[in-house]
Amino acid sequence: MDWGALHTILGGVNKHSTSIGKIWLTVLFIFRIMILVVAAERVWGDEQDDFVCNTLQPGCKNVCYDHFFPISHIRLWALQLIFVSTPALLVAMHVAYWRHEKKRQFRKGDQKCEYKDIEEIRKQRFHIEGSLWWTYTSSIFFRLVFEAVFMYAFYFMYDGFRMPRLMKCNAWPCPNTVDCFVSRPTEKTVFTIFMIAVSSICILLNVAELCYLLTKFFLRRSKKTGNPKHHPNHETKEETKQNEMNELISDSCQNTVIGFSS
Amino acid sequence: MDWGTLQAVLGGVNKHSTSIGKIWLTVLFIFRIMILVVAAERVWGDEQQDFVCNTLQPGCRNVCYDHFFPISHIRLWALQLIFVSTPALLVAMHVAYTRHEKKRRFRNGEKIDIEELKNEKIHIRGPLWWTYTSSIFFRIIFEAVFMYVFYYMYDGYQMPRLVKCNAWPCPNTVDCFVSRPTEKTTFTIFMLAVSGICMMLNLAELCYLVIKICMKDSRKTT
Repeated sequence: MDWGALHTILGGVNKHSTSIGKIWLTVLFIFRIMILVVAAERVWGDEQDDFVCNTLQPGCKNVCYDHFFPISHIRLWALQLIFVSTPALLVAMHVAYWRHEKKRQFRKGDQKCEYKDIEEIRKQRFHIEGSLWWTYTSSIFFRLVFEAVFMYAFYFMYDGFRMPRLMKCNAWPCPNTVDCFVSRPTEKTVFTIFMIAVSSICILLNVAELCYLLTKFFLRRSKKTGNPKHHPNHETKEETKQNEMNELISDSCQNTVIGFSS
Repeated sequence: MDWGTLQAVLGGVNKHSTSIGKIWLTVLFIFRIMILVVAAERVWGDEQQDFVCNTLQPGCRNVCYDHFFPISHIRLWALQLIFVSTPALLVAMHVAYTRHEKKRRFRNGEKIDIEELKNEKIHIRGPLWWTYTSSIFFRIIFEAVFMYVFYYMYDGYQMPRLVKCNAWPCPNTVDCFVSRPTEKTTFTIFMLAVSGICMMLNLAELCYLVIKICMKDSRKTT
């Protein structure tokens, strides 16, 4: 179970996202998770081995390292990425629930059910309407909250986003005040600022997606008050066939765009 | 999520590239990413462990290392490769959008065969030409920027054997010795050369696209 598995899980969610959601997912995987794995983990790899204190007192280095780095940046980013990715699973669960309901109707032999077979139900792409809209919007809201909370946690824990070269430590058993030197502070500062910047871009994308969904909701509402007979989730046989075709097309599109497997 | 995933993502883009674009992608994966992963990362693996300073002063080595190597070559190359690969995704998004539009027209009753639509190779014309050309332009810019950053940060492309350091807390001036300087210089020059080749390929592709559109325009007017 690693980042690759998360990639597979979230790839399936991609199918039901808006375009902005797909861009957000790409930015998440390429500019955050990939940078974390191929670059940042190496930079922080020797953080405790090369944390040097100007003392011979045993235990002083350990205590000072623990005092200044309660949770390592790498672990905080890993937690942030997992928490931020997870709300998308709410949407996946909701879609799976709808599919389950439709399968149940199909199996009961319900006259109202328009699908020819189980395969059709499995492949159908659901539009973000009705209760799915609420689930999707809450998932974006939670993403925003998690991003903001983690950015604040970083700022609070490390007094800003800069990694100092030198830390003065006087925790027991260090004698008086001891100078401790951090490993690769400049490189760490660069990567911290990079990750913060990409985090902010992701927050902006989420805010944009939220505005887009709200606008769509209000426009649809105003159309409904103009045309009361409109049923957004009711599908005719022709729409079902079109959905199937849309699915074929959008599958090939998504394999081209992002290469995620559903 | 690693270089293999990037390859999977960019493999899809390959279908809509020109021949020069496909060559560029191959050079990128084989001569840059693969060399980075199988060779360069081992060469730079012990860069801080084996960075030795002629002093007993604790902290001096850390500070000198940080002073002379603000960002490691390996990380700069990783960032360069990610930034240089990413403009290709613009093209992929545009192709997906074009297909979506055709699908919409199909839904509105125009006669287009679905199978044809799925397998269709989209030609680089019209707005896609502009997207493709801007993606090549951005690639060239990113390559140039990173090559300049390397030159500026390390005063050239040669890795010195000895660096003289007098940052606090080092006493006076301290001699520090870099690990594997010759091997690092070799790989730096190699990566620079391949970077230059990629830039040439991108320029050639840009010229090819510009000539193609000028010829098409002149055929239209005659």
